[in-house]
Amino acid sequence: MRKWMNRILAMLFLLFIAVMFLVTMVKEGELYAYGFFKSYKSKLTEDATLFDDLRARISKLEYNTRERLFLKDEMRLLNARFQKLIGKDVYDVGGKDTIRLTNGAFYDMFTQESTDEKMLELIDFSKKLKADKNIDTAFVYCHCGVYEENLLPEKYRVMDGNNAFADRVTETMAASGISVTDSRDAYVRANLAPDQAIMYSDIHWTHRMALETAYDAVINMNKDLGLNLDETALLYDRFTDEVHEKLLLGEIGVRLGENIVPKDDVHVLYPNYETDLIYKSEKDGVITERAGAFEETVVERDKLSLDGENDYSITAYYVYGDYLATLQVVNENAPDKRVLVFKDSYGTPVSAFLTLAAREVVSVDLRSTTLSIEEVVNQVNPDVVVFAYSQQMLRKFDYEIAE
Amino acid sequence: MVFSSNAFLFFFLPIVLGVYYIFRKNRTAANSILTIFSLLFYAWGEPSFVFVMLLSIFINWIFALGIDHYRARTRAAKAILFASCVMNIGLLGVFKYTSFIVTNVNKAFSVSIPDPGLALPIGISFFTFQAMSYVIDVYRGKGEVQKNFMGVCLYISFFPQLIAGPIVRYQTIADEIKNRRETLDDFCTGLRRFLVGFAKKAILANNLALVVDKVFAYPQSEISVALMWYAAIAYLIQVYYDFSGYSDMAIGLGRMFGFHFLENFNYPFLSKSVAEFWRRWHISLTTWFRDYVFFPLGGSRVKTGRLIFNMFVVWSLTGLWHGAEWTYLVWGVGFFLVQVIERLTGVGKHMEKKWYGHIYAMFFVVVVTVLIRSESIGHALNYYKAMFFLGGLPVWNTLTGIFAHEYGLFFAVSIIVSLPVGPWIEKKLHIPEPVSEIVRFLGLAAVTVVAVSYVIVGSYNPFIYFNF
Repeated sequence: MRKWMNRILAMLFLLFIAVMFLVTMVKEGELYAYGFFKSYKSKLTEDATLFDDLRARISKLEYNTRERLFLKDEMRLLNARFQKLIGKDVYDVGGKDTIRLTNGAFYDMFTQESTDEKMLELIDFSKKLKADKNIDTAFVYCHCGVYEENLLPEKYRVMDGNNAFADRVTETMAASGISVTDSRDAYVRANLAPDQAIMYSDIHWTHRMALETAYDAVINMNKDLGLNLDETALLYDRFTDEVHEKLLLGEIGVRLGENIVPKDDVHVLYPNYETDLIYKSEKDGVITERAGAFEETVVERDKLSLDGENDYSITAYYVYGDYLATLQVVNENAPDKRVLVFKDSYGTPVSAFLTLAAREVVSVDLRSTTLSIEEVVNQVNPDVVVFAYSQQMLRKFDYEIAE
Repeated sequence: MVFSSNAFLFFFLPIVLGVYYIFRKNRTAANSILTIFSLLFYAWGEPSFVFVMLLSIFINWIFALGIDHYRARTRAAKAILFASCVMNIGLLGVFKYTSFIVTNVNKAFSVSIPDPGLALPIGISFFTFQAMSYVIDVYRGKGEVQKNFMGVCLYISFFPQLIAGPIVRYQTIADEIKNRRETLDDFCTGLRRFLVGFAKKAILANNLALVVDKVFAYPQSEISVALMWYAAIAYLIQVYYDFSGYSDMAIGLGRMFGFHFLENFNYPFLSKSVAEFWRRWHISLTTWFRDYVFFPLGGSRVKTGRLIFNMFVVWSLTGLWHGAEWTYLVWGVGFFLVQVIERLTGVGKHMEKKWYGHIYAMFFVVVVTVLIRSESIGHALNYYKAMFFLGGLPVWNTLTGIFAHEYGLFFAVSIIVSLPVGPWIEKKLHIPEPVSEIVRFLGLAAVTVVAVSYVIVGSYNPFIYFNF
């Protein structure tokens, strides 16, 4: 009996891994090959050795085996359901502790680990920039998730280090002479409700929250650095709020499944006053140029499209641009200032809105360029350097970037 | 590369199985294929270390040939054996212990010798011990010398046991390198064993690792005495499932390719004494030290003082083998002390006859294992103080409740599965074999799916063998 059971089990398992391998190769083989033969180079420095080359290729392959695998989404859902079945409140999917907030939104909790190293690097850079080039630095802290303490179920508050970390970052930065904007202050000032600030299904904040934070950042930079950027251009009242109901199933939604996580409305915000921008973006060597109003240039409506056969979009958060793209936007109607923004996915809509307040905005994600931070600054020669980061960018681990 | 990864499960494994079974009739080709894939497997973690391993294999191959050549001239053979031991221990010492020695010399003598900061090749302790086993077994005539470099290369680098054991003695598989038979039943039994180990690692070990790593990362002021005990017990069980899971996978994979490795664990949590625990835990390591260190030192048929010395050497080395830190050394010495006491006072034999022997043995093992999870002796002492109510911590707090709720099920299942509960139930309830087989089949199929889902979604999957 056992012999036959073993044979059936072996047959099923071998069939499963063979199908996983073959279908993945058929569907994704080209991207695997691209990663192995081309894009691995993004991980190499100029003085890379043969071993560095090998490590980079292996790293790309490893990344692809993690991210591009047949049935990955189905397995995610199955895993989330298993965790729900056994009664867990904190879902551990993809190495993150995800919990349902009291308003029904889902939230990735943050560990309390120290992250001082990257923050101190940023402060040192800011001081050097001021000393060498007399360029000021601003830091826009983009808060993740919980803006009100009672959103997190009470007994789990002890596990979350999000606010404690945010306090330390903003206080340390401010004490170092950097113009700091804390999105938690923008939330209070704009008198928003939690649903207006955080997504139900995504790790990111809402575009409204990004706009309010960008507005506060302009006010703070004007006050602290005497920049004279156009703060009135970012008043919410001067924006059209175009609502796309139940459109987005964000990262957490994809991780846990739409049966567990509700979909999000997406608010596309664009000025209700006349704008005229010259827009240029570059990603992986592909350059896109456009000219016209904000909603025709900066806003990328194709990101609102549905995901294949599904009735939701997984890209709608990126309607203000791909976070890995380098953007250069010129706005002749705005005050004559050049702003360089180093941003992550949270900072991407912030930098998009800043294009309305300054003559020229260049925004770069440092993870997608082989240039050093100094090289970027030398190329752009800005009046101010803005870091628009969520706390993940200041944590110890380095992100791997999707191709 | 680790077994519980997408890269291994869905790419490496189907490819190596496919290629191997196409060429399996040609033994030279089949062995070459296994060797090449084993080197690729190792290179996946760090390509440059492949050369370290190949160098070690090459030198040991030459040493063994030398021993075989001078077999009639005992002194020459002995000299070569000695040289090979020096080389192997030296290699291990350079990579694994240089930093430890330099740091401590600097501290002790207030000097500042620069630490070369050598990275530790993955699994160096395992492959070095296998290499030593090869040369020593050839010297002792317990295995035929491999004239072909590929044979030694396969024995030492064979991917199932390469990075996390078990330490396969040369004499165990010497014959199977050249003459083995792959059968369908062996293959299927091996695959089943692989799946059991995979589920142990992906579901139980990794979820317990979440408890352990989170609790040990919290400031002590935020946790409770109960949570500290919970984490300490969870750590022991995590190590068990991590290690025994890997051993199961290695034994299973070996069998799929026609190799038969010896068992590495035998229900260690049934132990009623610390000595018994080590007869059931990481058996390949304890028997390696017994046969290659303890017996050559004189074993146990010596005067008491010498016996204590022999045991001290073995257990200190066991501690240091696990890691180049004082915590590991003290951990090993802790086991030495309690086993000496068990042996000299008869406590061990007494406990093995009593039910409370379980409590005694597990209590000691849990407590002493905290050492190897701690960053330093000081950290461990603070942990002990708190565990034994000397840290002023509450017995229970909110965080303890959270961990009990979130991971309690994994904790409970882990304990049950670590004991022979299944066979006991089958016997007690007189469950007919076909029924029990179907239940086992369905159970294993279900846990495999869950385990695969954990791996595919990229859940927490620590690799705890970097120190070993």
